[in-house]
Amino acid sequence: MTLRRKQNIKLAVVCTILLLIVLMTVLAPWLAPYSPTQIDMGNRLADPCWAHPLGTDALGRDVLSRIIFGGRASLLLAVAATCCSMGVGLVAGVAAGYCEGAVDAVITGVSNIFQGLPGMVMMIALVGILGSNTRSIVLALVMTSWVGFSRLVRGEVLKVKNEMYIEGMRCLGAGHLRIILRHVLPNIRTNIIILFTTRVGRVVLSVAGLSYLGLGIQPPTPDWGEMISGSARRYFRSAPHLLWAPGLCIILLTMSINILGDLLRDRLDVKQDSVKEL
Amino acid sequence: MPDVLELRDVCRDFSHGVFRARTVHAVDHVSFSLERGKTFGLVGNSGCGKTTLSRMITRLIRPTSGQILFEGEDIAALGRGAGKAYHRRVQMIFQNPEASLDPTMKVRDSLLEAMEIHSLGENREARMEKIQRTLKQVGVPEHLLSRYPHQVSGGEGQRLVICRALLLEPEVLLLDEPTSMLDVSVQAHIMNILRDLQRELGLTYLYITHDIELLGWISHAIGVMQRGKLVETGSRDQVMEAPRHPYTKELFHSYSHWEQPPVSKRRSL
Repeated sequence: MTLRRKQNIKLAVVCTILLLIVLMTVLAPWLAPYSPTQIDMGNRLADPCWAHPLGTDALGRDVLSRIIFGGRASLLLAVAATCCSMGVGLVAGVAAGYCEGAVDAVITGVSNIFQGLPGMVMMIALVGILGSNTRSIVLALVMTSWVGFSRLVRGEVLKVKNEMYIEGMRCLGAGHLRIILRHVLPNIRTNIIILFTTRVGRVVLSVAGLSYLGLGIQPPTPDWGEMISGSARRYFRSAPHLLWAPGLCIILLTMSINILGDLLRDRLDVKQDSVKEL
Repeated sequence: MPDVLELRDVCRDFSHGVFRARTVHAVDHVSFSLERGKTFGLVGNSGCGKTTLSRMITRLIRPTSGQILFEGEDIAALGRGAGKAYHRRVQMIFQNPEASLDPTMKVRDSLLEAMEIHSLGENREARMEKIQRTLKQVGVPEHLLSRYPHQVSGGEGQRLVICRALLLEPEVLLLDEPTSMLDVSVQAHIMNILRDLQRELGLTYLYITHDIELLGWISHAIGVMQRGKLVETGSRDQVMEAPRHPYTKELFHSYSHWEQPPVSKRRSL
């Protein structure tokens, strides 16, 4: 089996998993057998059975329904937050790398300060001050992760900027905006896409972590992170499904996203591609 | 014929070290001019400032002092529109053809973009037609257009780069060691194309090299650089046959057969 074929199979598997997760969250209201917030105190901590394929939690809510709904908040938050921080990071990174000089010094200084702050502590502080709603969670995630993007982009831009073809474009009379949009960005897209996908995975974990601390997505909204952190840990000896079902979902999601990132890197690198074909 | 491009007392310093206290004079009071339709060969060993000079002429960096005049106008003082026009009329050919084309773009798109920048050709069809005509001039088959830069050979790549430059109908070509990365037979081919193009289109060349044979073959006038200074300049015959500066003498010493046409000799190899 050639490397290319192996990659195709992997890609298909990973994409299917991600597609299923996305479909599941989108179609949640139709797929879930029960309401995710419907409490049934008479049927607490039920084992998996026909009526409740994944059992019920400490408040008698159906775990399967909560899992189906639980991806919504995490995924949406993760993608939104990563897009925002990528936007901020791209602008800052391109500005710093392309302009150099004073602009670079200021942006690098600011990003050094942000990098010096411990991420989780800052997130907790921000969410604590601003209150735990979706907007402040996104803001906290962006504040802690834009530096990663801007540093990577700055480095890549600096590298690409001195390439002969960029100088060549300037000799041809191309404007800076054209050079950035049509030549610099396409040449660094591979690394940005990889960072984006791995970041989405990490942000899903961050959201889960915040929820675990009670600062993320607030109950009763179902969320995988919150499901693991809440009462589940108290009962996991008698009702292990409370832990492994949402845990498995988080693992599947983050792992698929990361593998997708790796595969995309291999696929998007035009040069590498031709070497393999030889 | 009037001079197209004239360098007057051009200097370029680079500072480095603590407090930028150490200064290197990369180009040191260089003056020469390019006669329209002729080739000025600039020779010198690595690091003598040839490339800095060409970067100044393409406006990538500014001279520390001195002036570069294009048709009598200082290129540092050109406005937005005139600056763009200058970039169309003066084209640069780099040493490494693969590196001078964007690796993420197909050759066709790179060529089209050059014309797009200067709004040449009314639509895509008109541009493609022009590209096809120019490709014939440089002798490159059309199917290479749908390849990526790393999928074409060095000689083909350099011809494509020359094609891109020609699409803009330039008057001056700066050739920064255009054949030093190619093997000898391809070298001869590219040099022949360049000479034919000069005769056909009346192009002016600034040919930067350290290959003495090719220098003698294509140049009408020669300048010799050493450590940032232009130590000798004159017509080809004068510089090659009766060098005055000791460095020039040393440079041409090993080369004694240049009376024979070197390119035809190379071709038979």
